[in-house]
Amino acid sequence: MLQALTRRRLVWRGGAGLNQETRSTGLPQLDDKLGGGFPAQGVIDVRSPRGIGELRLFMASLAGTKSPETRHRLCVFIAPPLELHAEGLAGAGLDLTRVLIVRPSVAAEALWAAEQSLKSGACHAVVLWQDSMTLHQARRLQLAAQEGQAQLLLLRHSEATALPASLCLQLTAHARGLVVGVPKRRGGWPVADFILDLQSQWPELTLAPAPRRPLPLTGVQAV
Amino acid sequence: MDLWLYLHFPALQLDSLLQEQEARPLAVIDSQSNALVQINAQAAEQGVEIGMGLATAATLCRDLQLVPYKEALETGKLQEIARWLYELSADIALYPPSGLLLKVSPMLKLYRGLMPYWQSIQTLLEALPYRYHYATGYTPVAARLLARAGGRHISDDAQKLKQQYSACTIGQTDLSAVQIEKLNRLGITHVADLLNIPLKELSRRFTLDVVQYVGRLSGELGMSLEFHHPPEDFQHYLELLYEIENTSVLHHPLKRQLVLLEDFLRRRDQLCTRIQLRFHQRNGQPLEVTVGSAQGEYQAEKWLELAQLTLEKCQLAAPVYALTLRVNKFQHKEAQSTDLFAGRQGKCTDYQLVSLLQARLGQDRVTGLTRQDDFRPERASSHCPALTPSKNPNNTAPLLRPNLLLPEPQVLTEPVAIIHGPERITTGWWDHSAQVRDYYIAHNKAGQWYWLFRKPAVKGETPQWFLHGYFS
Repeated sequence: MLQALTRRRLVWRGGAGLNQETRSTGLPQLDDKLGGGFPAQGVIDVRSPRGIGELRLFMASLAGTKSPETRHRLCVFIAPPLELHAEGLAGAGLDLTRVLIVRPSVAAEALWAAEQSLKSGACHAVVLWQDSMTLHQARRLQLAAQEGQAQLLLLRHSEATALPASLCLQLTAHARGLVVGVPKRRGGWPVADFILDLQSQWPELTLAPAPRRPLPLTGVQAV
Repeated sequence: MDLWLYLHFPALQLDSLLQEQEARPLAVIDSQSNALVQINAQAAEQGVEIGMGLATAATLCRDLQLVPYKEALETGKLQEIARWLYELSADIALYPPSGLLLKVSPMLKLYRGLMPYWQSIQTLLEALPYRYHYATGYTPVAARLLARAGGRHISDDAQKLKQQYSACTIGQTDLSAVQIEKLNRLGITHVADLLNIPLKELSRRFTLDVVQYVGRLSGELGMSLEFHHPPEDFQHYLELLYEIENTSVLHHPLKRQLVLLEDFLRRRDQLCTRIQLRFHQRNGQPLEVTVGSAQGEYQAEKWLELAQLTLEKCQLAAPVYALTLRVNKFQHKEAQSTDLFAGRQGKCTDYQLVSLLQARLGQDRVTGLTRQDDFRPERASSHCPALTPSKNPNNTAPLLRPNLLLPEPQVLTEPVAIIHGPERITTGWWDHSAQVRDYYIAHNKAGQWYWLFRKPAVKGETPQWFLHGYFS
């Protein structure tokens, strides 16, 4: 009886029921917490201040060198707030020939470009910087991402409400890496905030717990 | 003697007009003689005839729509038909404005007979929207005479053909009106009468034109012909029946042209990466629009999508009455390999996505990123045309660099803690923008990771700190 219901998808089982495809984050700790990695398709809504390492967190996943599915597909950056630096991206493992940068003049065009890129199936990931987005727009992008089997990384730097996404992340800075909050996760329970240790990944960009070498700070002050 | 085929298109201009679903009486009028030269079936139903004056026609049919006759337009269409026919037949001579002459004899071996040859020609002609008359003959003049008389004769029986063109009246020949009048007065009303007179006799009594015509008709005199060579590029002019003021309405006529282009390209097994559209506006300059595609395309559907995105940005200054589609660069079709086993079959390729984005946003807004052989951070990274394969810079040492860079360094205005540094970059002395900078990685209270630099101290100045990037 129960089997029949399950087969007809009338009974939904938490956790194991939703067999979502994932892509490894490159960080074992995070993979573990998120049940395998970032969702391979759909919207990942990331809210964080700028410059704390929010983009670095996704670099291994964006590079996509691990899987043959992602290796030959594009990675599209839409409406970056500043200039993307080739050396920085290449240093993090991205293949620059598979990178596309789109700089639209208005927000509506950015959304259009994101939707087209996601739908096309030609790219495995789209990174979009956009602070304000309505529920309806997010839903549309989610559908486009599923259609093209792509991942949309939505980076928002403002205090905004959660959107209907496959995964919502709230990032804050921490001395050893980042504090990651997962307010919402499709097919899983919310995860309590945890400290993500990035010392092995980015040794230069974390503050070592040991007392660090004192540096002369003279001259570094408000101008 | 060679066999020839003549095709006569009696209403080329009329048939080429974009016909609406709702058919209405339509006529082409020669503005010089003020007589109708071409009419459609609806006009004929109401009693309108070719050769009628404007006043008579207007009385017979009140809502008759008139279009002025344009010879250049017909000649253009004729060249277009010749281009299509060139796929099937080698030697084609143009008789502007409305006739084509095909040399049949050399093609018979290829097609194994006259009827298979004619069938393939006919299949092509049926696909075009033009009415036509046709006839074969053992001289170009004979074939032309029969076709222009409204004939539909395909035969290689010389005796029968001669009988048929002999029955034509003198009025149907190409002789001038004065000559026709003169011959008629002499009682020579049919071509047969003319042929009965020996050439020598003719030359004594008539002018050279008549002698030449008869000689060429019977094949006693030869004539030189210039054969058509198809141009390499595609060009199509389409005149609209109504003026269009809105770019979104241009969809339909544009599609018609693109379908022709698709056919043209498919026959040649070619692709194009750029099409040029010219919108002829009623007053003023025509609007030129170039639509590009990063990947060679031939399909009308794909081009229509790209053209519409490009047109969304364009504003028409005045109503459009015609449009021209031109393509002059082609490339050969190469197999585009898609991995059968990759499992993920997207709807479009990388190049198609780039074309789509560029069509709407503009060429310069969709780019790639590449590294340059330079240590100056501003120059180490640059935008390049999308999807260009990168060259490998020499300095491949992995450097820790921020992923977001400020377009212009900004003066630092907050206290920070320096974590790493300095890294001195001294370069650029050769191109007059020498730089000496000490770069540091710093961390502020909010947890942001900065990339800072300071210019080495000069005597008497406090060095300033600049923010140049984020380790985002």
